[in-house]
Amino acid sequence: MNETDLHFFIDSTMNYFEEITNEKASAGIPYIKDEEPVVLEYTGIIGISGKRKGSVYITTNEAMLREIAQIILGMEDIQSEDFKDLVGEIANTISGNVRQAYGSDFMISVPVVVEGKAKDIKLPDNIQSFVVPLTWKDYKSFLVVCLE
Amino acid sequence: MDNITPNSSKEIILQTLEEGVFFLNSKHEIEDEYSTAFENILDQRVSNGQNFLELLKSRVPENIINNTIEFLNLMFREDLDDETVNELNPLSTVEFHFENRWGLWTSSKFLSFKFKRVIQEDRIVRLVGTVKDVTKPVTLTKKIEEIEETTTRQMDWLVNILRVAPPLLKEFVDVSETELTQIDNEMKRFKGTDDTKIILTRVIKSIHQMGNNASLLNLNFFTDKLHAFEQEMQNLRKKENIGGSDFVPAVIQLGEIRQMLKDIKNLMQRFKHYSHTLRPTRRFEGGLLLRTIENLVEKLARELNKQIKFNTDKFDHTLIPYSHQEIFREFLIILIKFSIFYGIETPEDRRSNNKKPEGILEVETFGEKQLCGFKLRHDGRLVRIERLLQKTIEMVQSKSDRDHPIVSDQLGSEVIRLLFMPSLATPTLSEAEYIREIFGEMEMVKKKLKMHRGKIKITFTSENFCEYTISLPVN
Repeated sequence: MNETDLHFFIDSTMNYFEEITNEKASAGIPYIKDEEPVVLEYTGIIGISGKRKGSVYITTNEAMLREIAQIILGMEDIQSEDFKDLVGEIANTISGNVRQAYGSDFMISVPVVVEGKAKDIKLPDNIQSFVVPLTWKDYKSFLVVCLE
Repeated sequence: MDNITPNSSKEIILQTLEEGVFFLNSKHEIEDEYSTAFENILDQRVSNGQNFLELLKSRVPENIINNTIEFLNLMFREDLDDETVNELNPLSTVEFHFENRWGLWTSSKFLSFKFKRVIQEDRIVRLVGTVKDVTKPVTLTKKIEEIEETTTRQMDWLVNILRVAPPLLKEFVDVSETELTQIDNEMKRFKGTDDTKIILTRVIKSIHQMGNNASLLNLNFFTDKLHAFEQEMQNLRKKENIGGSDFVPAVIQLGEIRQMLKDIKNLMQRFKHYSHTLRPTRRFEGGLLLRTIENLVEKLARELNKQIKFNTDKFDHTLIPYSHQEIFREFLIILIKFSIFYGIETPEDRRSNNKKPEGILEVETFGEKQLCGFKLRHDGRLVRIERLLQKTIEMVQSKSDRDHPIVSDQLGSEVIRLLFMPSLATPTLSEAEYIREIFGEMEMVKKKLKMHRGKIKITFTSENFCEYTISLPVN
């Protein structure tokens, strides 16, 4: 993965927050993922195959999803299923935007959603993964990109 | 054979063929007769009348599916030549992607499809398709290409690596990995409110340290990479309002550096079993010690625009036991750095002090029955620190027992503390950073010196002479 790839994913995520919520998110200093798990309460994972292979996931907490859901759906009563749909949708939008940039030989899977703090998200061992801490309002989340 | 009808013969053939065979109509639908191998190769069930393109969905990228539609349509056009159209076959070698139950990619197969027209009464009625699993030859070819690329790159590295004594190389890799882990931790600990410039300064310091170490061992491929990275970080530090995204090039390059270290380790591992034949003799390793410090003198003189004659005539590495060479190397490096940085003046300064423009740096080894060590002398100016040291020595001497050696272990550590105390000589920021770096290195060496019951002594005989003596018991 090169600088342009990682920038694409970060910019795509930033754009998502700004377009959907009218409020900018900020990216922290990215770092190389080690054995320490990077998992919060809800995680949306997208598999990438085709010319490039890997995965990308966004992981966040219920509080942030609740606020985004309120903005998008205008709902107060939000259920666990809604949070799952939303985090999957965020992951899908980010990857979809990147796919548009890379062209149609970049395949993305349907989002896989993990609810609850899993031990970690399994990523390909032979590819370096990069973690980008994100802050939207006061909420923390992480974007993890693993692309060969 | 009597009970075999032509139909069942065809079935037997289709069941036993190792190649996948199938027929497509002009709507791209699979006709009811196809070989068992067809399903096996595709790893999925096929139903009669199923559209062939359905089998490709989620297995190959969209652009290949679109090209296949176009290609199959051309295959059914009677006005076009079969062979010419076949040159456009997008499935001649195609990667099929397989997913797990979550839809995430797990593995790939490389398949080769070929298509021929079936003509009846001068009309193309259908296509016969064949498919073969070519995963083995394709992956083998890719692997060979990768190996060739890696080998070309690593051959250049090997030229550098084989000149370095294995213990030094191992130490270099270990120290570099520690530095990288520190950098990773710094980046990980970053809170949005922290000053990014502080983090950048720490990253630059670590990378600078690694670059110096690589340079000492003449690992040019690594030095170049680290210097380029350090330069980029220096440029970033000059920017106002640095955000997290600005660190993207840094984190990518750190990943590449980490990968280089991993590759070096793999190379070391691969050459481990040749160690008995390729390992330099101890005599040669002793020669490497001398070469390392000669490189250091040459490099520092060049960087600091100083002219230095480095006299090593009295340096006999055989006087230093093999087990002590590493710690002597560390001491030599630090004292040489200090002497060149602070002691030996620039040619202009020396001329104005009626000295020859070329400074003299001399190293001498000594070995007795129970003691071995080295002396390092220079004819540069005596800096304020050294004068302070002299006072400290006198002070400690007056307090100590007259029969006791002038320079005790306690004094040795006091001398080192003073010598490398950052606040004593920090005229500019860069010097301050430099001194801090030496100070950090010195901490470790101090511990080692204590561990080995070693001693340090500093002598001044005139305004133009300073000599450091480091000695260690042999056993």
